[in-house]
Amino acid sequence: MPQGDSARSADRRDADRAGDGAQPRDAVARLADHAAIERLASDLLPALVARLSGTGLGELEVREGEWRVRLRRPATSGHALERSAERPGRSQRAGREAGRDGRDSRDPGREPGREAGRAAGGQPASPSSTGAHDDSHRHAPLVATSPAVGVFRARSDLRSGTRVRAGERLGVVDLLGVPQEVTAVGEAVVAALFVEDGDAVEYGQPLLALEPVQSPEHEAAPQAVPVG
Amino acid sequence: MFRRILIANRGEIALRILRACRTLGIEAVVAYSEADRETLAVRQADEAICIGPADARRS
Repeated sequence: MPQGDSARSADRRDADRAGDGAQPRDAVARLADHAAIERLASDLLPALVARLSGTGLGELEVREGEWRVRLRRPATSGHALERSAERPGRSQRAGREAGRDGRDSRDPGREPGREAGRAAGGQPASPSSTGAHDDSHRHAPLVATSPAVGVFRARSDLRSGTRVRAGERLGVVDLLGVPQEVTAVGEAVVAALFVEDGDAVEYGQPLLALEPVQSPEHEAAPQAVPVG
Repeated sequence: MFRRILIANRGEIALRILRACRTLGIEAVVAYSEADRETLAVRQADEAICIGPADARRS
């Protein structure tokens, strides 16, 4: 099994000490090594650590002569980095996922979650339910999220201002030839499209913003119609 | 040596691969469904990406 960097450099040092076929290193050279390590530890490492933390980098490697220093940001929880499977950027991922699930992001550096509706496709429409009953939330926007990884195909007549009914098909996400429907969770007006027709989208990625409307004939909460 | 590996497995296997990646200094990306959101491999991964709901046909 191939060895890591630290193992390799340890071997080199062991070989040097043992004088194992390699050039014997005299005391002067060893002292120089120790001095170099000291400099490394006291000067270089703090600076590198500071640089690493200040940026979004996950890993930093510095080489000088025979020496190599690699700093690696400790792996934060998978959730902190992933948070919703969006390609556009990690901070956006955090925002969308946190909003979608109603949970706080575990990584404090991420954007706060936005208010979001449930994923399209037959799931209960709880945000729109509260919107129907509570006047103060009647204009809370819903977000239609992608039901799958794939390519988004918008309904051709869909644009900002289009009025849709509960369960109405907004488009599909094409997954290797299998279309998964994107449906409206409640009666609403399309407020914005976050992606364009033909964009690759990820599971849970926000696709459209919908402004729920309260129509006089709806006494009960609108319910998502499962689309088979 | 690889710089990054996508782990499509689940459970113990995913965890073993993840640990081997750690030892070798390889970045591990775990793809998972909703069912595995709270599993150890997902939480330990350098990057984790949710690709769908628990239903195997949809993820």
